[in-house]
Amino acid sequence: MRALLTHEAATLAAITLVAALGPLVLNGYYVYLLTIVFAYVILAAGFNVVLGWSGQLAFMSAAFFGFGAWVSGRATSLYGVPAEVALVLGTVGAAVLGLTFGALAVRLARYYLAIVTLTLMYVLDYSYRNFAELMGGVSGFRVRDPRFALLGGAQATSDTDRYYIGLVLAILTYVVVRWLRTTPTARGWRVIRRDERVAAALGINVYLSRLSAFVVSSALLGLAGAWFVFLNTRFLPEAFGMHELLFDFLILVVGGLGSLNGAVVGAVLLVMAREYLRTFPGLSEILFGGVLLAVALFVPAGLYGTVAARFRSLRERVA
Amino acid sequence: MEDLLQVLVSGLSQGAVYALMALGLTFIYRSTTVLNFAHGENFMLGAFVTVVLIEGGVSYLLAVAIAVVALLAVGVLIDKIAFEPLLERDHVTQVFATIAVSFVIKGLVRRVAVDERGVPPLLDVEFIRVGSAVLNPQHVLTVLALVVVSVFFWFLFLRTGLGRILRASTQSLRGATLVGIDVRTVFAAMWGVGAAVGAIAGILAAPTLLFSPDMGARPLLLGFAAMALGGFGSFVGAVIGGVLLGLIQIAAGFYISTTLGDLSGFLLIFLVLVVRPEGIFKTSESTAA
Repeated sequence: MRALLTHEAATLAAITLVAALGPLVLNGYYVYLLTIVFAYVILAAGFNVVLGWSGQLAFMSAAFFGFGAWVSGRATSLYGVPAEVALVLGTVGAAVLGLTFGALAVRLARYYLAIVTLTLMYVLDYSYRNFAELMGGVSGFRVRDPRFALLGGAQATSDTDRYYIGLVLAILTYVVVRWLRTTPTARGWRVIRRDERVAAALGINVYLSRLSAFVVSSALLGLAGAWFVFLNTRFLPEAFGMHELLFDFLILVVGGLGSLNGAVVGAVLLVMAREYLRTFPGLSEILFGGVLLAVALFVPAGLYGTVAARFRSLRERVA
Repeated sequence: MEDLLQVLVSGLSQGAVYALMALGLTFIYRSTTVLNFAHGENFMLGAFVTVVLIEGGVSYLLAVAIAVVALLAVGVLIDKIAFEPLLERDHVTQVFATIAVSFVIKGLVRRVAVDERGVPPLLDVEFIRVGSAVLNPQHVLTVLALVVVSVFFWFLFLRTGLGRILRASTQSLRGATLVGIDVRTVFAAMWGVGAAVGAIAGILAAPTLLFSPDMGARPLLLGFAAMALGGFGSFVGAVIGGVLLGLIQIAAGFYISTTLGDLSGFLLIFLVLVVRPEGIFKTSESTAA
């Protein structure tokens, strides 16, 4: 076990090191692209908790991603708070929404939960558009480059600055979620995903277990949004609707639902693909839908899971 | 008084669209226990095929007939491609497959039809006068369509041998298999019928909306709401839930505020699911989700 842990830590350190060298060797476009990727790593790691680990059919990613973005964008553009405070506010705001909404919603099973979380997304979208004064209106609002208190009040305007800040956030998120997986709470999630009656028989409080997964996901999705809105420099309601939700599903399913590393790999692959396909209307939907269907039909473990299993069997055969 | 009649008719017609959406979803849900997230695309495709045919010079009624049959075929196709191979798999995978289908259909339509467009109403008449009230003929037609579709399926289900087979397989798949019913054919038929009913909803609603590849998203969610309101999986509940939802939306919008009218459907979903997850009309045929 310890060997495994150090093996993982070494891999993580190596990846971090390579990523840290990124802006020195890559051209500007790829640096920009990777800043978006890092935001989606946070999103995918967070969404995977509720959907992959606790197995709840919560269609919540776009709603909480958007809400985090809204809180953080509003706080910086209206009140000029430092970026760090905005990130914390976005995270906490989404967590509070997740706690109050989830307290009622997680009692619902399967499709009911799916519908009620979809509804939240629509209500938020409606509010952004129609209560313009408070929420920003149909065309959203501009988000100024915030000042970072930790950087002595400097603005992170260059892509390279944002790259490093995003990298730090993504790695912190990864480490925290990775640690979460070793806690009894996460073991509870895995049991309720298999069978809630078994979980109850084992003395797990099913309701609290479901709720805790919901809130953890809310908070991380909020963080992802709070950071993402700075990269976008604009809060746009339409960016946090059905398309975003489906894209997030795709990330998790392609990577392999329930796998943290799979979520990261899915985020990297799909954000790149999306940027590349952006200029062709409709094409990304056809390809993404096709990939999602193909993965569901032929690669149940997801790409990461399948490749990792190959490697494992290869290593065992060699050893 | 004329206000009341107008509110009633437009509420009923709005509700008829939701009821048809919910009915289509229920056909598939009852037979396969899958919630079809691509059902909004049946709605959209129904309108799309009709519009394209009309623009090509086909008469309206013929266009509608072709669209409904085409969507029947689309439903069967979806079953064969995206559901039947996943029969033994878990629900999450099956749901993701329907989401994938929705993605692909929207993308394909977006490739061929870039701009939004208006859809002409079915009848040439501008309005119908009843006493001093002025009614939109499209609304009246929509309500009539719901009645016809409901009676048709009620007759088919309860009065024919085919209906007995369908009812048997929606009650117990294992039992149906044991008495020699080919459930795969039943699944295909239910996907087909579900899609066709969704298409009818789209064709009827299209003249009051603009056609766009994304036009199915909102009716889909309100179809879910109608199902939840009437009791998930109940055919009667789907119709009653849809009609009630439409009436509440229009009445709240007319008598209280447009904001409340727009949001009332969603608020109702919250309320129903949180207070009474089994639906307002719990019937013996409604099942747990």
